[in-house]
Amino acid sequence: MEQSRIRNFSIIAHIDHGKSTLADRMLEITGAVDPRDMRDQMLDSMDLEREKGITIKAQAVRMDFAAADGQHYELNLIDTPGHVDFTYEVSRALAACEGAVLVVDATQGIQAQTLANVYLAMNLNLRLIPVVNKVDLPSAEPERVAKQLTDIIGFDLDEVLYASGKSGIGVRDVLQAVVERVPPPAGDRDAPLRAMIFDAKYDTFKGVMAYVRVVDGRVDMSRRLRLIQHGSRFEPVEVGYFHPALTTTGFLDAGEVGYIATGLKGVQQTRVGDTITFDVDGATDPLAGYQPAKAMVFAGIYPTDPDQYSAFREALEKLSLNDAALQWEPETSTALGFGFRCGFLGLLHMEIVQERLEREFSLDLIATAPSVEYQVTRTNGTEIEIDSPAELPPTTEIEEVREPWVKVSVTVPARYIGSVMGLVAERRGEFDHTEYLDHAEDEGESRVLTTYHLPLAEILTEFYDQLKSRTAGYAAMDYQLEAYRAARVSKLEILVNGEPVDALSSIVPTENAAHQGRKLVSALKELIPRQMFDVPLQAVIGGRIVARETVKAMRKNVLAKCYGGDITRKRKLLEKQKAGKKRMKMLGSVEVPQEAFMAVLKMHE
Amino acid sequence: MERAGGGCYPRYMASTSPVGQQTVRMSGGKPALALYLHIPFCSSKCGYCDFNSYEGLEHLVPEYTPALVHELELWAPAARTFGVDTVFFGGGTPSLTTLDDMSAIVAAVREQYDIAPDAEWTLEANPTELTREHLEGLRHLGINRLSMGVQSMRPDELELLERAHTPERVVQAVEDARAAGFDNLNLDLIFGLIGQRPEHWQETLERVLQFRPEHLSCYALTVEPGTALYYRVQKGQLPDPDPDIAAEEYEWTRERLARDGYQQYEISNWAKPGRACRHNLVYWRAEPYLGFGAGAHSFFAGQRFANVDAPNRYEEAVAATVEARATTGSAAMQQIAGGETPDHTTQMADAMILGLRLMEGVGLEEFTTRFGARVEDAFADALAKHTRLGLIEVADGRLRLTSRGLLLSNEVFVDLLPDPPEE
Ligand SMILES: Nc1nc2c(ncn2[C@@H]2O[C@H](COP(=O)(O)OP(=O)(O)O)[C@@H](O)[C@H]2O)c(=O)[nH]1
Ligand code: SF4
Ligand SMILES: [Mg+2]
Repeated sequence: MEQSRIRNFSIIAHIDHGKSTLADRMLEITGAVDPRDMRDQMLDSMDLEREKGITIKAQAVRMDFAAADGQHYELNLIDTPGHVDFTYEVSRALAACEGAVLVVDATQGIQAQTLANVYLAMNLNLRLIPVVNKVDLPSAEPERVAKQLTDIIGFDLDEVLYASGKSGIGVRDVLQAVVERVPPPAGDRDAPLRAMIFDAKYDTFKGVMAYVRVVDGRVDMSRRLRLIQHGSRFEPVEVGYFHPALTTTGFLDAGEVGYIATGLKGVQQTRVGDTITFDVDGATDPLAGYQPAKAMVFAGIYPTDPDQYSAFREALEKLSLNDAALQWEPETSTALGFGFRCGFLGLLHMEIVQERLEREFSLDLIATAPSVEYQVTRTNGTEIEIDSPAELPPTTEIEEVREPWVKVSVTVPARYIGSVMGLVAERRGEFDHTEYLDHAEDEGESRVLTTYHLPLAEILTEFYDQLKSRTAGYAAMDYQLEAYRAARVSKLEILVNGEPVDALSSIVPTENAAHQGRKLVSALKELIPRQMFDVPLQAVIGGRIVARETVKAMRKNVLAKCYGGDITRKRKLLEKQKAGKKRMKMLGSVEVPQEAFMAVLKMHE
Repeated sequence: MERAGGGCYPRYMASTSPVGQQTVRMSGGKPALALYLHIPFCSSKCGYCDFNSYEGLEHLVPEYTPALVHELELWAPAARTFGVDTVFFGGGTPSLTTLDDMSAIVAAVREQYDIAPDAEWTLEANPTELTREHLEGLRHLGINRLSMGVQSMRPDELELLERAHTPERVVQAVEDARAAGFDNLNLDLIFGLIGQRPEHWQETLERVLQFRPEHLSCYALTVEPGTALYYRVQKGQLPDPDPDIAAEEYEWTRERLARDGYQQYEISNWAKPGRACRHNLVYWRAEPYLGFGAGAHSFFAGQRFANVDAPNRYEEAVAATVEARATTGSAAMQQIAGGETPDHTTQMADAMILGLRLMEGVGLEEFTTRFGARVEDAFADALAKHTRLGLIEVADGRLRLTSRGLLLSNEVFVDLLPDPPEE
């Protein structure tokens, strides 16, 4: 397809504003998917995405659109995730496009992530097409939302389109606008090949599958290829595009989006953001790559069955190919054995990674409490960065600890401002400013954008759930890493039978430490089964015991009447008890059921 | 009942040797064998009961006695080289069986087996429908030991357990039993009931002691899966029983019974000197027994096996076995549902787990003689661990549970089991 008739675009939106549904309609209208094969949220191909109803991975699809001028256009749509944790995925997808459809729910208006995504797109100089979506709903307020778009973002009113992804109203107009407003790709077809890897996936048969946007030249099956930065070389096994199923063509031209099966088996040999060119007579300059994502949340992840360690390592390697934001390095724990310290973009990311590892690789995993990354200045002047309690130096060696703070934007109807303020104050946060997105007749109904500064650690612990519940579900949020600030934190240790359990220790704000300690210890008391001896449980901060409980020794475990000499059955009962003990984790000489241990680890508070 | 003995052990212990092939218990000059006969019928099912017992199966009763008699006949040839010194009618509720049926069964036992003149003949009874006349009839048939299910002397607790009788009925039944000539009486009790306070249990035990029973069985309540009680606990209608209260009650019971001259010979069993239940001891000492009736268990010729549970299937299977013998000469016992031949390791574990339930414990030398391995070697880890925890101890060449170990015996037993084969 000649470049003038190619359009590459994304859809960006706050979560649930209808991006995936709109994409479904586009696929239908352009005939990319046979109506009989149509499922809701067609592009959300991972089981997890369908279950959670959110898009996690960016997806790409090629559509053939007959525009109003009678010409056929090749539209490449790259779907993007909406959740804050996946901003990184969004920016990668956007970098492969020239334009973006900005979807705003006609009943919700502009929300925190709408703005975050708009700024991302503007930084990349993308042409934006504002679409007020869900106009079929009785509660839709299209004029009000259109006014927000003009007032806040600066669109002209006549630029704004109105659509319903559900009913299909206006969707063809959106596609027509993509053709008219988004500029065609500007690559040089005669230059040597340069293709940007914006995503990758591992396929058992075809090796690493690189998802690419071809910027210059043409890729086909005839020439050996090379990754400019990494240097690995390969013969392409297959080249094609997404329809959304993989469709082989044997070539991709400048401006097009598709995939190259590399046949590379070593997942470490490819990296998202790298540039593919010819091995011989290739381009020398890589395309501007992506900033590697910065992990903000860290946790130890361990296989519950130690025999799964190497399978776990392999799974992490494969997954990180597809999830460039995931970081990991080996870690050992006396309580949990061998595992990895992993870095994530946020809690949802952490949860999703764990679930994907368990589902896609049949692993059984256990995670420690998440932590942020602290900067520590020691008394001897040296600087270290730590993301695990084990690395925190003794108090006497610490000059200063700094923790990451984030700028949090919350969009909410004005009447909830007070509730949000309250929550922020409880979490050591500071108010920055309030901005009205519009003015309703009833002042409390007006939409406001409020901005705060909070320690990142504070929003990791159920902040989002709290925000939602205190605002009747109206609030939406987004956050960005801002700066490091001095922090008063302590290492909270949990001792079971006098021995510290490394997997249960955490770094907590000094002022909350005692409270947290009490909470953990009393939860443990309920969860640890009685042993043959009294088991003291203690929470310790800097050598000082702040909480103490005792699991009293067991006094009775005896079989009932042995009726009629049924010895086999008695033995079976004992065998069952024995099997139960086998599944216990040993914390020193204390037997703790795996489930109990997990339950405490899950108390991420 | 028990033969005279001497030495430092109570008479019941001295009369027989605990374990060991060298010193087989004898009856009438032959190796001894115990017979168990199961009567699976009850007038109503108790809430805690997971025994093989059924209410509402009265229509199966008429065919049951002939089936039992046939089964007794089927096994008789195999038991010819044994002498029988204990016969036990268990249930279910054997006291529901009519005197006519009882007399047919007893006659078959006497005809087909070599019964010692001083044999122990026990019958389990429920106070509910027990009459003086019936008790006299039983005594007349030669039943010389009566084991009565009392469980509690408090109306609220009997209701919780869904027992069909009242405390007053117990008083009457015991009086009638004594009058009928039963001078060897056991009463079954349950402690550690849901919601029970120690003084409630003490009340039950004190009242029961006034009957001066020769033998007492006191079991801690366990809420068994599949029972009505289990269902109610699962549903949250009732709390779990409190194990600490049960432990406290147990300790009090041991002291209280010792004061009245009862000797504890097993975790849950106490008897006046010479009145230990010979039949019970057979189980704990891993001696042979043959079981008859629906769901009855046997340990015979080194094998453990059990009959089918359902009374109707049992009756059919026995009939089919008899039929096959007559027509094809097949020796297969079709009423047997399954069994196992414990290997050497399992036999050692069984001997330990069963033997440790007895206060006499496991004789270390006898164990070596019987199995060709020393307890200290075969169970080295478990011994070290539980000696350290104070649950077991060795004294006078015998391994025993300590006082604390009695109620925590499962903790010890679990470690005595052989490791399961790796998958
Ligand atoms: N009434 C109506 N509902 C819609 C429309 N578009 C999406 N939805 C619903 O809004 C929810 C979120 O849609 P989805 O496409 O998953 O949003 P995404 O998170 O932006 O991908 C789903 O329940 C959709 O059925 C629309 O145009 N009209
Ligand atoms: S009488 Fe005995 S066997 Fe029958 S149901 Fe009650 S407890 Fe079970
Ligand atoms: Mg979606």
